[in-house]
Amino acid sequence: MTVPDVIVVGSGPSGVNAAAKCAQRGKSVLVLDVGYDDERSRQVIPAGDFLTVRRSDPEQSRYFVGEHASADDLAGVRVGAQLTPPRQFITRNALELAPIQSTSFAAMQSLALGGLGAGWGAGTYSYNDVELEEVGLPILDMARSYDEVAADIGIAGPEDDDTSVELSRFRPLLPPHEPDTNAGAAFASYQRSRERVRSMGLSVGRAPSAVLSRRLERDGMVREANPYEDMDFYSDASRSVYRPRYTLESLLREPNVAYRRNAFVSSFRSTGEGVEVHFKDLESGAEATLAGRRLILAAGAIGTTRIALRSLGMLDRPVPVLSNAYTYLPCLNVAMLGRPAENRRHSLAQLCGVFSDPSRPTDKIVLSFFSYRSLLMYKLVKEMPLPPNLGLLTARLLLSSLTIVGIHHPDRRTDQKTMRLREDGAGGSIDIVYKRERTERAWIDGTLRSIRRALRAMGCVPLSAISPETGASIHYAGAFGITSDRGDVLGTAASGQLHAAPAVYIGDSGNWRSLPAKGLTMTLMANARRVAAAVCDSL
Amino acid sequence: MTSLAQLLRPSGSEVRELVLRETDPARAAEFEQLCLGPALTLLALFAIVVCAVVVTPFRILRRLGSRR
Repeated sequence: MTVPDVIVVGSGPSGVNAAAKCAQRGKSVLVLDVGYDDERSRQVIPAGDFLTVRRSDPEQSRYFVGEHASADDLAGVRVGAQLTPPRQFITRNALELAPIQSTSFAAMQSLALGGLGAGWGAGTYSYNDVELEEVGLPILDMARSYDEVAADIGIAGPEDDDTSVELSRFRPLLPPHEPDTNAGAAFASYQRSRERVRSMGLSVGRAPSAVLSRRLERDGMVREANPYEDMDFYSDASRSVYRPRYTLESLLREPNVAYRRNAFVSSFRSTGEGVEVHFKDLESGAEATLAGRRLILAAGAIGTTRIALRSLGMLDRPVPVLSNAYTYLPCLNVAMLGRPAENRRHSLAQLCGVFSDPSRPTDKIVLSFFSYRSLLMYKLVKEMPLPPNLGLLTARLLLSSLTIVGIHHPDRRTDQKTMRLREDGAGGSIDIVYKRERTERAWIDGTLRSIRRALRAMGCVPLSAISPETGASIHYAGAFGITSDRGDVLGTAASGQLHAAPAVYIGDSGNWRSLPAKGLTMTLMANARRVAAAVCDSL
Repeated sequence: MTSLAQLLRPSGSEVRELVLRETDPARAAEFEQLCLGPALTLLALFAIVVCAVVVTPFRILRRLGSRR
C-alpha cells in the first residue's frame, strides 16, 4: 500500500467499524494499533461447560484465578470491571505507555487487539432521539448505522417486549436468548406484578446482546450460536459473543486493508495533501511516520484526546471528561430461594430494565440483570463479614437466587470534570480531576432508592448497593464537542471532522457532549461507521 | 481505621486457602449451589446468623491478636 486513503488508529469497536465502512466503500485503509493479544491463555482453556471444567481440569486455576495471583491480590480484587485472567491482556502496559494521574478517577485504557471491546459484556443498547441530540449525533444517520452494525455483528433480542422500543431500535434481530432459570423466575415475577412495577417507573425485558442465538455467516466468517456453557467470561471458543477482532480478521482478507501491529501513535501533523501520523514501533523502539489522506482517531476517548491535544499543541489546557457512574445491587430473587438453577446458560446479561424518574423523564436509566456463578464463589465469600466456611455455606445457599443488577447513571459536563495533557513519557500523561456536584450525587441517590423499591415490587430484594470508583464503568467521553463554530479548536463538525485539522476525524466518543445512562458500545460502533462514511465522502 | 466489617471479612491467607480448594476439581462439589427448598434454606440462613454472632467476638480477638 502506498499512501492509504484512510489511516485508522485503534482496533476497538470504533476502529474496526470505521475501517470496515471505509473498506466497504472501496478505500484503502491502514489500521495502526499496538494490538496486544494473549493466544496462550486461550489455548489452555478446555472445551466444555463450566461445571464439567470445574469438576475435571486440574489446571483450572490458571484461567479462573491467574497463575501469579498472590493472597493480597485475591483479597484486594473488589467490584468493578471483571477482567478474568484470559482477558487481562486488555490492559497490558496501558498505564506505562499512556499514563493517567488521578486521585478521583479510576480509568481503564487498552492497547490490546480489539481494545476494551475484547472484554465487552455484549449489551447492545441504542440511544433514543433525545439522547442522540444531547450527545450531538445526527438522528437519521445514526438510525442507518445502527442497522448496519446489527446486521454485521449479529444481535439477539426481543422485538416486542417492554424495553425493546427504548433499547433495540435496530434491525435485523436474531431470536432472543431464553433467560436462565434465575432470570426466568425474575421475569415471571415481573410479569405478574407488571402494572405495579411499571407505575413505579421500571420496565423489564430480555436483554438485547451481541451474543448469537443462532449460527451467523458473514463475509466468509462463521460464528456459532452460544453453546450455553457459561464460560463467556473466560473463552471466546464459539465466537458467539462479538469481538472487534472478528471484524478485523474479515477485513484483512481484503486487498485494500492493512494492519500494522506494535504501533503506538503519539501525534499527527496536517499536511497539504492530508496528514502524517507519528508513532513508536514498540518492537524495534524506533520512531516512525506514515502519511495518509485522512485520519480517523479511534483510540478510545482518553487515548484519542491524548493524541489530538498533543498534536494541536494544547498542553495543560483543561478539557471535559465524562464517565457514567455505575452501581451494583446484589439482589435476592425471592422466587428462586432454595430452588435449583439449571446448568445451561450464558454468562452475560439475561434481562434488562429501563427506569424513568418522573422528575427527569428524558433520562432513561438502563439496568442489566446478571445471574452469578462462573466468576467463582471466593469473590462472594471474601466480601462477607463471616468466617470463610460460614460465608461459603451462605453463598451456596443463595447462589441460585442471587441476581446482580448493574445500573448506569447519566453524565453531563461540568467544570469539575476535566482532564489535561502534560508532556511526560512517549505520548504524554493525562491528569484527571473529577468531582460530581452535590445535586448530581443527590439525584443518583434518589434514583437508586426508587429503583430499589421497584425491584422489591418485582420480587428482587436488594441486599446492598456497591458503587465502584468513578471511571470504573469504562465508559468515557468528552474533550471535544460537536459545534458549528469553526473557530473552536476543541470543536468538530457533526461528521467528526476536527475544525483545527480538517483531514482528521474523531471516530469514537472523544467528541460526545454527554453520556446517557446506557451501555455505549453499540452507539460507538454505529457512530464510527457514520464518521467513516463522511470520511469516504470527503475523498 | 479498620471497620468492623473489614475485620470480620476473611483475611488474605483465608481467601487464598479458599481459592485453592475451589479450583481443586476433586472438591468442586463443595462450591456448587445448595438447594434445600425455601423453608429449609431460610432455617439454614438463620442458623448461620446465630453461629456468626457466637463466633464473632473470638474472631475479632484473634484477628486483632494476629496484627500485633
